[in-house]
Amino acid sequence: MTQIKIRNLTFKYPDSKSLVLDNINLDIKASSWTAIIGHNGSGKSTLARLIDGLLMPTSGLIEVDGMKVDENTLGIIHQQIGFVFQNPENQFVGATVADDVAFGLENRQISRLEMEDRINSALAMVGMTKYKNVEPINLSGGQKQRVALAGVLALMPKVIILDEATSMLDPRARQEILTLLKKLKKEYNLSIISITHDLNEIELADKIVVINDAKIAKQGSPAEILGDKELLLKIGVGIPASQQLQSLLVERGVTIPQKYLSLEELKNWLSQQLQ
Amino acid sequence: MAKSAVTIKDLHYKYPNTTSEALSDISLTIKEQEFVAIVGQTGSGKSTLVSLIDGLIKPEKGDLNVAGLKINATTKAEDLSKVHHRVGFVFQFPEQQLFAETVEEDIAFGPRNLGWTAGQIKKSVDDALKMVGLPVALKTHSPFALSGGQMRRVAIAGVLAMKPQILILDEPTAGLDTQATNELLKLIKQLNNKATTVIMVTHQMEQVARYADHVIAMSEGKVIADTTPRHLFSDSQQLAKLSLTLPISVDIAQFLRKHDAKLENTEPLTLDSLADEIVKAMRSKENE
Repeated sequence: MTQIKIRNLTFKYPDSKSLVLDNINLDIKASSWTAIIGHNGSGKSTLARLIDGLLMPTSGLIEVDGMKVDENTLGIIHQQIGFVFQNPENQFVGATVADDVAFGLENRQISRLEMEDRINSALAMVGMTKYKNVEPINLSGGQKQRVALAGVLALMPKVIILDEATSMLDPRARQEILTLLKKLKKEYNLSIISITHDLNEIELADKIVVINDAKIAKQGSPAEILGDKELLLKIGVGIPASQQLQSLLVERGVTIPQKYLSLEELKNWLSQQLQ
Repeated sequence: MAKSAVTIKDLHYKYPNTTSEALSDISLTIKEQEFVAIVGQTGSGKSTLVSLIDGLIKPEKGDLNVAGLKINATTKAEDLSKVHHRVGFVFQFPEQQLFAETVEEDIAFGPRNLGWTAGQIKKSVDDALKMVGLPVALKTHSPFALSGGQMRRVAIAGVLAMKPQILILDEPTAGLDTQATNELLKLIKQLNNKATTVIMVTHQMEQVARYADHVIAMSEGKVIADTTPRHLFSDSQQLAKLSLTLPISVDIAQFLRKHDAKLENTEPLTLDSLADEIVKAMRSKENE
């Protein structure tokens, strides 16, 4: 089922002549993981903000669950889509972790009792229960992003948009957040849209959308996109280690059966050859 | 035998109003022109250690010698500040500290504080821009009109303009895309090749494997390993204890070994050397 439908979407800032997004057409399926990648300034963050109604299109259409995103539907759209930003520091408003998770719920006319329930279950989902009464300032970067995620989960959205949400974390904290998201996506049938240039995060997606110069340059499966080295270099994402090693082996005269192998597939193939 | 750039002996440090030591009993030597990586989890003491080397704080006990300057608990503030003439410190997300209206003014700030003449300052700004690979014509631009990668280069140029003998960088590539990351690391390596001692705090084991000659691993305020990258990555127990990951090339090599592949070198530090190992193993299997 299509959850987000984008047709002929164009966006430019009021005082600017150049288009930030130029005729974007895109379908995002329910319960899917979509990675949107591209250079800084390619328009990928703008696209995410348009989907969430934080910005309004200059022309064209965005629908979420069959509902057009505009001023009248904003309230409902925000209930369906949660947004996690890059820098956890800028997202905190509460004096304690629990207060912070409560913030989004407070304007929703939810009873105090249900609010308490939702806070507890959201903190449990991200593994932060024991930090409930801690001041956010005393948390590590990874813990802060977990709390930001809990704040979004407490609203029970259908879609979570991650705008470079792991880029300021150390590799271990990043891996933990990604593992957690994978698990939550499965358990709660969430859709995830991640704006990223982290290759580990890109490899988790079912579908990758490449934005370049305000347009969709290509969209497809990880195999279709991550096998396209020329494109990856052009947009500054770099080549996945699996593809680099494959090329280095081919240069040394090794014949590898398929064009694209994920890291796991390549490791398994190599170990069969060398056993 | 190369001279030492930094010597630390029996060093202890505790932040004011805290009970536990942020650093305890640190002794280590960094040689001139080395490329040193400092690794460890968040909160392990990495940043405290580099702040001490930069003379931003004083030890409670123990001695440091940084580029020939002695620092201990009794060192006076004005002597401590002399360290800044010899050590440059690039903080995390340094572009957040850009402040001036033009790139030139921003880069000139440090040299001006060191009391250099107008001529010296102008030359140092031009040199620094060239070093970080930015066109000198950018001088008159606002730093805030530049891309993220360029802004970071301007911030680094501001440190390089003071011509430090020792360059400290705290997570210099955090938040940059792959292309900007690779360009910045190449630049740091070039500076290192031109005789600058580099001390880089990083979480990226690929960077340690590829660039460092020497790695210092920290945990809970102590130095746990002070060795070469190859040696550190061969000790998987130690790595697990430090919660550090393996560089991808070593990770693949160890996976293959576990599955009975006969690789001669089990810690290839780059994908290139891993590919060599794999091809060698394939050939010897064919000849069996």
